[in-house]
Amino acid sequence: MLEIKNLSAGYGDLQILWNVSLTVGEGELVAIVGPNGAGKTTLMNALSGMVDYKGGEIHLAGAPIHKLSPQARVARGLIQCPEGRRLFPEMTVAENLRMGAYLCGDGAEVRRRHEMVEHLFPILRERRDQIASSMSGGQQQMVAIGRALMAGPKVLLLDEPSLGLAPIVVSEMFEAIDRIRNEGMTLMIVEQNVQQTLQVADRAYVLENGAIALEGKGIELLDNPHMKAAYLGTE
Amino acid sequence: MELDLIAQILLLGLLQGGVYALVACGLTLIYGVMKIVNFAHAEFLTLGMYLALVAFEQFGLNPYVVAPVIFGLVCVLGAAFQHITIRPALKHPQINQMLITIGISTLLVGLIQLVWGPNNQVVRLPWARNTLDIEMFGGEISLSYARLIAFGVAIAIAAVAWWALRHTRMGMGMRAASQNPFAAQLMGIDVSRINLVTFGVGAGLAALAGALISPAFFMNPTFGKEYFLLTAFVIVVLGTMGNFAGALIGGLVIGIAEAIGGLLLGPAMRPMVSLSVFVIVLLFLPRGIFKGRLT
Repeated sequence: MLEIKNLSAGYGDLQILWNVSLTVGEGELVAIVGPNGAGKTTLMNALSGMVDYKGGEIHLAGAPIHKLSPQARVARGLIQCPEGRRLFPEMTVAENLRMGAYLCGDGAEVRRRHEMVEHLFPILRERRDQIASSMSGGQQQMVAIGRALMAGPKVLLLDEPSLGLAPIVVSEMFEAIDRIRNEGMTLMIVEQNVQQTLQVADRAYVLENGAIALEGKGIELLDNPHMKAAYLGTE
Repeated sequence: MELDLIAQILLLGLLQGGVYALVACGLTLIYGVMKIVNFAHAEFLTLGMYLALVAFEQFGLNPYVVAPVIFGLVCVLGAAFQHITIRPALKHPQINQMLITIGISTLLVGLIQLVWGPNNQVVRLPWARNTLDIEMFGGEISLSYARLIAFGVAIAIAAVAWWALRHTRMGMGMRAASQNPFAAQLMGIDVSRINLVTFGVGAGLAALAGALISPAFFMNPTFGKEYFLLTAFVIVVLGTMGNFAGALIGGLVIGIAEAIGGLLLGPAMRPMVSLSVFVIVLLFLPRGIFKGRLT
């Protein structure tokens, strides 16, 4: 569904990603893990067209998208839910969700998606008219994921969905991600919470210094000696 | 002091406040979405007055009839200025963008003077200077039709713009871009197009205000700068930079405050009132009376 070949990207003269190649199959949940500063968020933003492209290819459902504008990529169904949620703070929950479907002109389809999101996160139905910035961190994260789902993604990119959340809320978040996956969604998730992410991921890539250092099945990586030493602290 | 005189002055202040509000709405819209302080804003108002003058003297058209056309023309002109001069500087420090708007202001004042000359002119629409007389508090209150129409239309337009920000796709996109431009792009909103439209509409609103007041005020090339620029900034800061409803309410508040100040201290001291409000707001409420952004 999403195929990345030798992607290089960065900010101006500063190159962050070096020849990154990876694939995400249809219906798969693929995780990108790695230390701070490895380029995980830059990878997400390179996919969304928000950083400077320096080479390589990105194919979505078989079609090249690496030359397209951020809007055109959204229109094709590559949707990112950004790190730190980035809600529209002074809009209500319902308005935030509505903005996710900005490119969808079909009112009935927007209502259908809204219904689906409120079914997935019932709290968003109760809090429909609440101003987004007045909600708790976990609820804001649900709004952010819901907003991305409103865009009708073919591939959903989740950047650090557990960032800054209390442990119990993190577990709820992973349950929600599992539910989204079970609906058949194709997901790519960037996380620092390596243990929990590898348990739910079908496959995972380890990004170090802007390049892929390791890849494998999620659960197998949990037993990998390098992973244990560097990330899991279980050796 | 006579009650009817007080009522007369307060009502005149309110009418003036409506026009202030319309001018300030455009300024706050541009700031809210693009984070640009537009020092050329008053020149778009002046330009609106002169365009109304041309329409009246060359084609015999009533300013109130051509106001929508002037709005449209200046929207396009504003968007063109944004596209050519400001857009390339959007990635640079904000001071650069401010200096560019000062450059646009200087350019427009010069061009207006070149085309229409430096002398005072007015749209001679005699009936607009007639007054509506109302019996009140044992006296008679007179309000000119020109000012009544300017107030009514200004408030109606500002209300429509406020509604459009909440209920149209473009308006929602503007609010989203104002509150988080990065996330707006991730939702597929073309932020550079939003910027173009925002600057155009902001300039157009100023020109529309100019057309509406053209039968009531003598115009000259620096009219906008002298009579509206500072006041518009005071209103925008009072109502919180970038807050549309704040500019609307702030405009009315400043209009009335100036009228009261003029009444108590004499007409020559009127400008001092808005400047005093400015200083007080900056000292004690530096973020204005409302919360931030386009709400």
